[in-house]
This record gives sequence, structure tokens and C-alpha cells, in this order.
Amino acid sequence: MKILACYNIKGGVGKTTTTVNLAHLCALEGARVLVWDLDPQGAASFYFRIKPKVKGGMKRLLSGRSSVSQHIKGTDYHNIDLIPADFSYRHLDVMLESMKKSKVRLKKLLKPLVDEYDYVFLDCPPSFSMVSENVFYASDALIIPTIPTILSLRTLEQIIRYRDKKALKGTQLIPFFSMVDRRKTMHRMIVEMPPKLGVQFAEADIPYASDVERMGFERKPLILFKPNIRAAESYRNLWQTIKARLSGA
Amino acid sequence: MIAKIQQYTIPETCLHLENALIQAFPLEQQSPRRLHRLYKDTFDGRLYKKNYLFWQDTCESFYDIFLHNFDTGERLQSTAREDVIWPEVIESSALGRKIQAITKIRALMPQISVSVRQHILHYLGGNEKTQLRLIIEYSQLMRPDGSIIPLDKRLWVLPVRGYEKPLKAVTRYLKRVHGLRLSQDNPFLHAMSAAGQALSCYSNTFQVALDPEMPTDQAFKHILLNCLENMEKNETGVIERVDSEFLHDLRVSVRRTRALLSQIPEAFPIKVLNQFEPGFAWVGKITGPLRDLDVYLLKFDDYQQALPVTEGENLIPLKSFLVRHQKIEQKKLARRLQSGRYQQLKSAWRKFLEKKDMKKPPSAVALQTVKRTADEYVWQAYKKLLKRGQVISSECPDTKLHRLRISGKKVRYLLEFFQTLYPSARIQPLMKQLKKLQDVLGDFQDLSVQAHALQQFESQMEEERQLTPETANAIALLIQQFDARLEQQRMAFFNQFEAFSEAALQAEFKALFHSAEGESAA
Repeated sequence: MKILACYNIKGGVGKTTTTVNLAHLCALEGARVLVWDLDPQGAASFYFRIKPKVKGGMKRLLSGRSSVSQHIKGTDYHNIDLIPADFSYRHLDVMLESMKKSKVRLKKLLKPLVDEYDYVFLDCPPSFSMVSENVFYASDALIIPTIPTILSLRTLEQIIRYRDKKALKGTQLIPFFSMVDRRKTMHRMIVEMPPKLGVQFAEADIPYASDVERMGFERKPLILFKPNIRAAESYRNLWQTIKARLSGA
Repeated sequence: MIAKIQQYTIPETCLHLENALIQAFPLEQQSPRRLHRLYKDTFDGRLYKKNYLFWQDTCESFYDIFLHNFDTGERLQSTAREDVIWPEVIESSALGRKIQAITKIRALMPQISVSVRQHILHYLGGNEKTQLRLIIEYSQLMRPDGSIIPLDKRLWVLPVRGYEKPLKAVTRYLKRVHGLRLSQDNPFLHAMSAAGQALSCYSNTFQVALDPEMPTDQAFKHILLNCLENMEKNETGVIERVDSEFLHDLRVSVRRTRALLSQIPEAFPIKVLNQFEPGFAWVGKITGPLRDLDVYLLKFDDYQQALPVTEGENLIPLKSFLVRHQKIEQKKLARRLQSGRYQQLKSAWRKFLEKKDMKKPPSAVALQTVKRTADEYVWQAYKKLLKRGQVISSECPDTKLHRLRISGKKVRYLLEFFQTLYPSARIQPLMKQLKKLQDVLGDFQDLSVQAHALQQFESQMEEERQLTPETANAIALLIQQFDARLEQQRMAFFNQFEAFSEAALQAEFKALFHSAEGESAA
């Protein structure tokens, strides 16, 4: 079971759309996929039409009084299940802080699912917190949507520094350019000559497209309602690149 | 707990079920679709034997593929871009990996195809979320003459994880209002029976029930007919190159035939031996080169993994060489199996085996009971095996171990032929212990033969100007490894032979095959 976290400190960079589209592409190949919507805003749960509610909240789950398996919901798509968001996730940091071995709690919660799923996608909240630290420890790779702007690149540098500081070399960082608007000179410049930050950008950038935003209206992965647009093709390329990176290619 | 997929057979009397369901529940209808469905399994029914069913539905440019487990009610689903013969093409899917674990080196073959009209209903909850799926399937069978046989109507209820209530409500409704009961029926078997086709119960395990009082010659004909039939069952698969197991099984049947002819020749007229022994030796000979290439190719991944990564990659030209020669040998063999010589050998052999009585029995052995013959010959072969094994030392030449393996094989074949004459609980442990010994000897033989074969391939590659210094180096490394493992295998032999020759086992062999008790054991 590979755990992939869609993560960025910044909000509004395309984490949830990336999670939903990649999970869908992965499931189309026949892999068994679980998405965990860790963001209390519940956008991934919304896309999958699932009520953002975990019975008993996160506290019950972390205390071991309920198992992750009990909260899994089947989506409308074959091979994709979801653990929905819950409003209690907003206190997740505080809950984790008060626990022993607080950094590996998430990893421990997912362990019993190892034979049940091939991939777990974590849709992470935009923050730098104990939740992020748990995500770092649990994941095989962080998929980092990055808007080609100076501030976004700065946050990417922070993530890289954090990974190195914590000596989490086992966690691959796979940044890619998201919401790319080629009409903007800065976007074009950064995408064509990405800065050398010690990590390799995936060679698949996702263009800014109103159809991607329409996912919220359709409540479907992009490929299902606009299979032939450039953004859909870019997500396909991104998924292939991620798979290749995971297999060490 | 994840709910199981449920299946119902819809009786003819249950009309308008779909409409009734739509009236009773918040169901959304998907446009009906027509599918061409193909059920597949291996030649020896590996999926069926484990209670799995695999099928592929042809869509526009791809296939929807399914693996249903009747024990757990679980169903894996995926898509494939091409017809699934080898699960490798879908290995990224859980379904592909599951099938591969069951079918191993056997190919998936078409069993029967049906035409399906499928109506899908989605049980919608809040936010128009699907909370349950209902699939009604109307299947029919197209006969080669164009006639249509309608099959039963079937309802599949596919639960969605985490939404138990709709499942309970629909299940209760189906039972109370329509009197439907859950079914474990296998739609594949239903289609096969409607088509008048029998399920292949092929197995390469030797299974011939013998009557202890049967005269030896009759019992032998019985055994040999079984071998001939198995040879014939595998021929098409060899000629069409479906998978490598067809050739393997064909060769096993030939070896069994040759073993019986050579080990108990007294049971056959000399004329018969002179006519057929060379014939089956020829079949063994013509099938050998392709089988060798199959074996090396099946083991190729192991070879690569045994070497450091770069050296492993340097072996790739060897693989291309083997594949090329495999194709050449395949064509040659297919031609020979369709030749007059091969067909005449089989038909003459069948004629002899189906002839009721021999006018002039060749010897007393032919007329004595098969139980007596079995006792005598197994005991003789076993004693020879023990004797040969006891003189093996750590310094003796490899050939002695090879000869010992052949002696062991003779005992093993005899035990297989005659196993039904003895109580299963007593003969099985002996066969199991002998198999362990044979496995060690087999591995020893493989290592020494493989080293020799690799050297031959190397020279052949050089002749064909296909050998690079890097590949030669990788082959040399591999041979070195074989040599080192050969010594380990020799040591393993001593442990296994010690277990095989221990007093209790010897006493059991004696009790079964060389005592009054043994004679009346069956």
C-alpha cells in the first residue's frame, strides 16, 4: 500500500482537485484506492457527494474506540473509497499534541488497511502543524501542487527544508506546477526554467482551466465530463510520472 | 464489515421486477446496454476450482473485466486495453495480481460467451449519492447455427461500503414482496449446461482407479489409455502455443507411458515393445528442445535476480536468443505433432490398448493380479533405490546422483500408477517422503544441466554473432553461482536421504509391498 499525500502549506493551489483526479485515474487502472479527506473544510467529501461526518469524531478514532475501517464509505466509482472529513478535524493538532508518539498516529491508523488498498491519497489541510508532521511520517510521497509564483516557490522551499531537517529522506517530494496560466509572463518563465531547489518538478503541469473549477459544479472527476481537454491530459501525465517516480524510474 | 454482493435468479413468474423496484425505492435508471460477455479460465479450471469466476465484457475499445469470488461475495473490477490472456497485462490492478496468484503460469482461455442486456439502477441518497447498485441481466446464448437460447434472468445487488440501510431495505423487499431467495448459482455453469458443454475436469495428477484383482495386462492398458488421452488433451494447446504447461503435461504422459513399458516389460508382447518403445522415445526427443527453452525462459527472472542489477541486465541478449529459438522449435514441434508418423503412432497404440484380450499372453506377469505385480515391482525398485542411495558419498561423481534420481523416478511412477491398490493413509506419506527426496535430486540435476546448457547457449550465441563480452561475463557469473549451489544441494541430499531411509519408513515400505500384511492391505 502506497500512501500519497496531496500537500501544500498554501491553500487554493489545487490540492483537492489533484487528489480527486489522481485517485480516479489510479482506480481506473484497477488499483484499490482510499481517499482520506483530512481537511475540515471537506472539499474532497463534497466532490464525492459524501456527508463530511465521522461518527464520534476524530477523538474517538485516535483513542482507538473506533477503527478507521468503520468510517470508510464507498464512492460512486469502482475501486474508490473515502474516509470523509469531519468538523472535529479542526482540533486535530491539539488532539495529536496531547498524545504519546504523536507524530506517527496517522501512520498507525492506516496500518490495518495495508492489504485492503493499493493506494491511499491524503487530502491535507493547508497548514504547517502536527497534522502535517503526521502526514510526512505516514506518506511514501508528498504530491505538492505549486502555483508558478514567487510566494508558492518559497513555501515549497520551506517544505523541502522541513523534510531535510526531520531527516525524512524516505518521503519523496513530487512538486508539480498547478493552475498554470501561460498568458502570464511569470508563470511561463518559472515553468520553463524552474528554480533549482534540490527536488525535481514532475514534467506535467496542470493548466489553469475553468473546466477544472467546474468540477465543483459537476461533482465528478474531470475525466468524466471533459475527458479530452488539456487539463485532463495533464492529470493523466502527472499520474504516470508519479507512478514512475514511486517505482524508482 | 463489508457487505457481500448478493445474487438472485429472477423466476419467470416474477414479471416487471424492475418497475416494481423503481416504484418502491429512489432508483435512477442508467440507459440499458448490450454486452458481449466472455467467461475465461485456465485449461485446468484453476479459477473455477477455487470458486472464482472471471469474465470480460467488451465495450467500445476496451474490456471491463471482473473477478467474482462466490465464497466471499467480493468482486474485483478493472479495465483492460486488450484481451486478457495473461494477467501481466493488468498487473497494476488488484484483480490482475489476484488472478496471477491463482493461475500462475497458465493462460486464460475462452470458455463460453453470452450476450447480455444489462439494466443498472442506482439507489440514490442525499446529494444524489449512489448508496446501492442493482444490476438486472438478461443473458442469452448464441449457438454456432445462429439459434438463440435464453438463459435465466439475474439480479445482482452490489452494496456500497458504509451504506447498509438501503441494502437491508431492498433485500427485505425482494424476499417479502417477490419471494426471492439469495442464490449461489454460478452463471458460467448455467451457460455451459444450456450450451450442452461439459466442464473440463482436466488435471495432470495421475488418477486411475484399479481393481486389485484385475489381470496385470488389463490394468496396464487402463493406465496407458489414460496417459494417451492426456497426451491428446494437451496436443492442441502445444500446437497453438497457449501456454507452456500443455507441453509439460504432454511430456509427463509420454514419460509415464515409457516408464511402464520399460519397467515391467514382461507384461507386454515383445513385438509391442519393439513397435512402441522407439515411437514414444521419439516423441520424448522431439518435445525436449522446446521444453528446455520453456524452462530457461520461465526461470529467466530468477537468473536475473541472482545477479547484481547491471549483470542481470547484460543477460537480456540471452533472453532474446532463447525467445527466438523457442519460436523456431515451436514451429518444428507443431509440424511434427501433426505429422503422419505421430498420428500413426497414436492410432496404432490406441488400437493395441483397446483390444480386449491378447491371444497369447507374453508371460505369467501379464496374467497375474495387478496387486501382485505392483507389490513385486515396487519392492524391487524401492530396494534398488535404497541400495544406490546408500553408496552416495560427498566425493562421488555427479552422474551417480543423476542415476539415483532416475531410480527414484521409477519408484515414484510405480507408486503413482498403483496408489489406488493401497490404503491412501499409508501410501500417501511414502509418496510425500519420496517426493521430498526427488525434489532435492531434481534441483541438483537442474543446476548441473542448466550450467551445461548455458555453456551451449553461449557457444551458439557466439556462432550467431549475438554474444557480447558483457553477456558472456554475466553467463559466466551465473554458472559460477550454479556451481556453488550444486555443492549446497549435495549436502541437502544427505539430509533428505537420511529421512527417506530411516527404519520406520523402510518398515512401512516392507509392510505395504513385501509382506502378507501388505498383500492383504488393500
